[in-house]
Amino acid sequence: MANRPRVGVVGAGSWGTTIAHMLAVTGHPPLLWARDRRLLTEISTQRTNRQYLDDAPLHPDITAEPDLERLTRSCPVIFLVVPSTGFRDVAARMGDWLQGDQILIHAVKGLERDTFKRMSVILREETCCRKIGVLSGPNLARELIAGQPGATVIASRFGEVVAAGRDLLMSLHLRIYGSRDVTGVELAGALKNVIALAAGFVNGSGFGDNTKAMLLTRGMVEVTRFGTAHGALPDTFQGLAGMGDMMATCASPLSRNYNVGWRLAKGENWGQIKRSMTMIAEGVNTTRAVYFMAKSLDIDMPITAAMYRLLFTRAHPATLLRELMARKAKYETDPCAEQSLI
Amino acid sequence: MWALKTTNAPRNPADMKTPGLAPGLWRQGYFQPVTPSYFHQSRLLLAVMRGNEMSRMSRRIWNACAGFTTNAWYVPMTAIAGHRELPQPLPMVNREKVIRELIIRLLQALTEPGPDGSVMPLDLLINDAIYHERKRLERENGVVRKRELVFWREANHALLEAAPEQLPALLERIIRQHLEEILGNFDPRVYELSTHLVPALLTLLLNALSPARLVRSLPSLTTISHNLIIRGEVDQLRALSQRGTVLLVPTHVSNLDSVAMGYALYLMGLPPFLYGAGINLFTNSIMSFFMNNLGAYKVDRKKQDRLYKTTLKEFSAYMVENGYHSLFFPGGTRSRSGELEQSLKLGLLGTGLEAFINNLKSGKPDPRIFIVPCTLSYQLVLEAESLITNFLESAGGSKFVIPDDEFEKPSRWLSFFLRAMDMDSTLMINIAPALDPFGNRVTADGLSLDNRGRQVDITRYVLKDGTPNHDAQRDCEYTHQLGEAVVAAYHCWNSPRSTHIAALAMFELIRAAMPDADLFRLLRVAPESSEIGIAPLLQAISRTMTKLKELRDAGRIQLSPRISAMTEKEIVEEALDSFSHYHQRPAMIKREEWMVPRDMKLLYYYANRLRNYGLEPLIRGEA
Repeated sequence: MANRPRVGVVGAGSWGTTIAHMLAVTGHPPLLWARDRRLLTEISTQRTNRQYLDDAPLHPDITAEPDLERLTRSCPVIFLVVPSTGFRDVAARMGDWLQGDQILIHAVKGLERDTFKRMSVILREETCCRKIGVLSGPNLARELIAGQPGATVIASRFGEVVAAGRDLLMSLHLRIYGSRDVTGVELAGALKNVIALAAGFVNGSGFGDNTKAMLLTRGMVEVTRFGTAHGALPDTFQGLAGMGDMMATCASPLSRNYNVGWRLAKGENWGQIKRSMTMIAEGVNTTRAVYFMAKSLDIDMPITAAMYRLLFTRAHPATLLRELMARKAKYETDPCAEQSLI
Repeated sequence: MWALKTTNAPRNPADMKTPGLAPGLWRQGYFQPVTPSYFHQSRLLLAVMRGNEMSRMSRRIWNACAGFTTNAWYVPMTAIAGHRELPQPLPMVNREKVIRELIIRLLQALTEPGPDGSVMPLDLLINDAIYHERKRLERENGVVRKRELVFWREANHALLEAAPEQLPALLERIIRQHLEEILGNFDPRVYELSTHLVPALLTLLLNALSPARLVRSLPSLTTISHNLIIRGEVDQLRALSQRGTVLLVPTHVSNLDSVAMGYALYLMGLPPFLYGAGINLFTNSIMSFFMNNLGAYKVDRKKQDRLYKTTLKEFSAYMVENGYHSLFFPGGTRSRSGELEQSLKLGLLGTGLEAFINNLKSGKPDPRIFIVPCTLSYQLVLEAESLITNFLESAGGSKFVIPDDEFEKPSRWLSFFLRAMDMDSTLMINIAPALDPFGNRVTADGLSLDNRGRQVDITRYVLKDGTPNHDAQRDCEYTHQLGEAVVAAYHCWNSPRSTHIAALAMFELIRAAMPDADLFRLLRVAPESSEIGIAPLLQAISRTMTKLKELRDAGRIQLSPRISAMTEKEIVEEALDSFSHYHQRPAMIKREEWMVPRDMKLLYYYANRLRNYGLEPLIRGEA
C-alpha cells in the first residue's frame, strides 16, 4: 500500500476536496495538497473542510500532503483544482518536477485573468506534460459529496487521459463521459458562469421562469457562438459540460456565481460583494475576459456585454434590461433569414 | 548569423585560399577546415563546369538521358564527391534486404489496429488497393499503365480465387510492387553522391537545354550560390546531424525546392539527405534521370489506398531508423495559394516519432530524431501562374495534380533561370531551430527543452508501464502537436521579399477601394478601374514595414538586413523590376504616378505569403 503510486489532488477548495473524497470512495486513496497548512491539518485530523464544505464528513483515506514537490514527483495522475488566478503559479512550480509521462487533469472553470488563456494552454506552457485533460460538468460539490448520483465529462486529445480519469472516478455515484473537444469543454465550463451570474441577477430582480428561460437559451446561443469561433464543437455546448452545467448552476442557490448575480440585483455592487465572499466566483473574471475577447474577435455577445457593464461600469440594471429587450428583431437560428428581415 | 551573398568564384588562383564554391560561407565559419584534397577537388568541379568542359558535360547528360551508359558520368563525379568526410558513415543497405525487411514490418503493421482501433481484414485491404489502383489507372495512359493494369488485373483474379491462407502471399506481392516503384533505381551508393551532384545539376540542366546559348550568355556562371542565401540555425543543424537523424521539413512552393535544398545542404557542409520526390518530378525526362539517382525515392500522390500510404510511411521510418537524414515537404504538395502551410500531412511527419520509438525499443545508442523546419522564400516563383490558377479553380473542391505546368516546359525553365541570374538573391533559405518528435525545442547538443527552458526526458512521453511502446492514438496526437510547432516555425522564420510586401500592399489597397467585391470579383477587375496612386502605396508599405519590424523584434518573422534597410520606394522598384522579368504578364506596372495591376491573380498569389500576420487592416489604414 505504501509504495503503490497514488493519485494527487492539488487544491483543497470545495471542488478539489470533493474530487479527493470521490477518489477515496472509488478505492484510490489520494494525496491532497493545499497552500493553507491549517486547512490540511483540519482535513487530516478532523476529516472536515469547514471553510468550503461545512460539516460534510470526508473519507478517511484522504492524505493531506503539505509538500507540493513530493506530491508532484510521486503521483502518475494529478488533478489540479486551484482557482484560475493562482493556476499559473502552481503549474509553474509543479513544472520543475513533472515528467512527460504524468497525466494532468484540471477541473477549473475559468480563464486566466490577463491573457484570457485556457487552463490546458497554461499547463502546456508551464510544464513539459502533454497528457493533459479537463474535467467539467454539472458538479455541485455538496450534492456529490453527499453521494447523490451525477455525471461529468473528461476531455483530452489523449485517449489515455480519458481512460485514466474514468478508471479513477467512475462509480455508481458518478458517471464519466469522454470527449476530445478540450477547447469546447473548457470554454463551456468557463462561460456558463457568466450566464449563471445573469441568472442570479434575473431571479434576484424578481423575474420568473419565463425570463430566466429566455436568458438561459439565448445565453447558450452566444456561448456556443463564442466557442465555435475558437474551434470548439457546437455539440459540446449541448452536453453535460455546456447545457448540463448551466442548468445546474443557474437553478441552484448553491452556486457562487448565481449568488453574486442575486446580490447585484439586490442593489449591492461588486466591490461590496467581493469583500464579503470567502470563495472565488470565477464568473466575474470570466465575464471580463470573455467581454474583451469577444470584442476583439467581433463576436456578438449581448448578455455577456450587459453583465460586464453591470459588474465593472456600474451601469443601471433597468437600462441594461431595456437595451437587451430593445435589440433588433431577428430570426432565431438562420443568419441568412436575419438579413432578409432588415 | 548571416551567410552573406557570395561572390562569383575567384578568378585569380592566388585568391583561392578557400574552397571555391562559397567563399562567403567559408568566411562566416560555416565550413569546417578541410583537407587539401577538398581544395583540389572543388577546383576540379569548377573546371568541369567551366569553359570547354561544359559542352562535353552536357553531351554526357544527353547521352545519359537517352539511356546510354552512365559510367562516363559517374567517374569524374565520384572523384569530386570523395572530398567530404561524412560525419556518420551511412550503413550500406542492400536493396533486396530493405525490401524483405520492410515486407515483414508491413505485414505486421497492417495487421495491427489503426488510430481508430480498427483492423482491416487482409482481403478488404487488398481489395481496397486493387480498386484504387485500377480506378487511378483508368485515368492515365502510356506503357507503364498497360504493365500496371495487367499486374492489378492478375492480382484481382488471384484475390477472387485465394484461400484465406494464401492472402499474405498475395499481399506480399502487392507490397513488393509498391516498394519496387518507391525505390526506383535508388541505390545507396549513388545516394551518397547525391548532394554532390546537385550543385552541378542546375548548370548542367541549362547546358542540356542549350549549351551554346548558355555559354554565350552566361560566361561566368559557375554555381547558383550567388543567388542563394542561407540563414538561421545552420550551426545547430550541422551539430545535430552528427548526434542523431535529422528530418528536414521545408515549406513548399516550387518543384525547384528539392533541387535548391539539395544544393543548400551541400553549401552547409551536410551529409546527404534522403528525399521522397513526387512522381510527377520524374515525368520531366531530365529531372527523372537525376531524381532516380539523387537519393530520391518516388512518391505517387495519386495513390490513395491505405496499403500504399502505409508502405510509404514504413519505408521512410525504416530509412530514418537506419540513420538516413531525410528531407520531405510536410505540406504534401506545393502551396497553391502562395500562403505558408497552415496544416500539414501528419502521416510522413509521424515517421520521426515512429523511428524514435523503434530506436528506443532496439536500444540504439543514439536514438534521437530531430525535426528541422525551414522556409524557402523566392523573389519570384517559377510556377506561380499555374499554382494560383489551380488554387482558384479548385477553391472549394479538392486539389489535383497539375498535368502540364511551367515545370514541364524546358523553355520556361531556361527563361526563368536566365532572368533569375540577373536578380539579387533569388532564393532565401531560413533554417529554423530544431524540434524533437514531440515539438519541443532542442539544444545544439540534442537535449529537449520545455517552454520554460527546462530539460525534458522525452523517452518518458512514450513509456507504457516503464517500457517504450507504440500507441497509435497517442502518437497521432504527439505528431499533431509537432505539426503545430512546425507551422508556427514556418511563420516565425518566413522571410518576406519585396515582391510579397509590394503585392500585399497593392492587393489590399485595391480591396479596400472595392469593399463590396468578393475575392473572385476582385480578381477579375479591370486594371484601369483599380489604379492606386504611388503615394498611398508607399504609405501603406511604410506602415507594413513598421509592423514587420515589430514582428521581427518579437521573433515572429524574419527580415533580412537588406530588406530592413530598403526604403519604401526601393521596395516598390525592386518588386516592379522582378515582376517585369519572368512572368508572362507582370503582376503590376507603374504608369506615371499610378500603379496599375496587370495580373490580379499574381498579386494575390504573392500577397498570400504574408497572410496571418494581421497586416491587412494596417494597410487599409484601419486602426
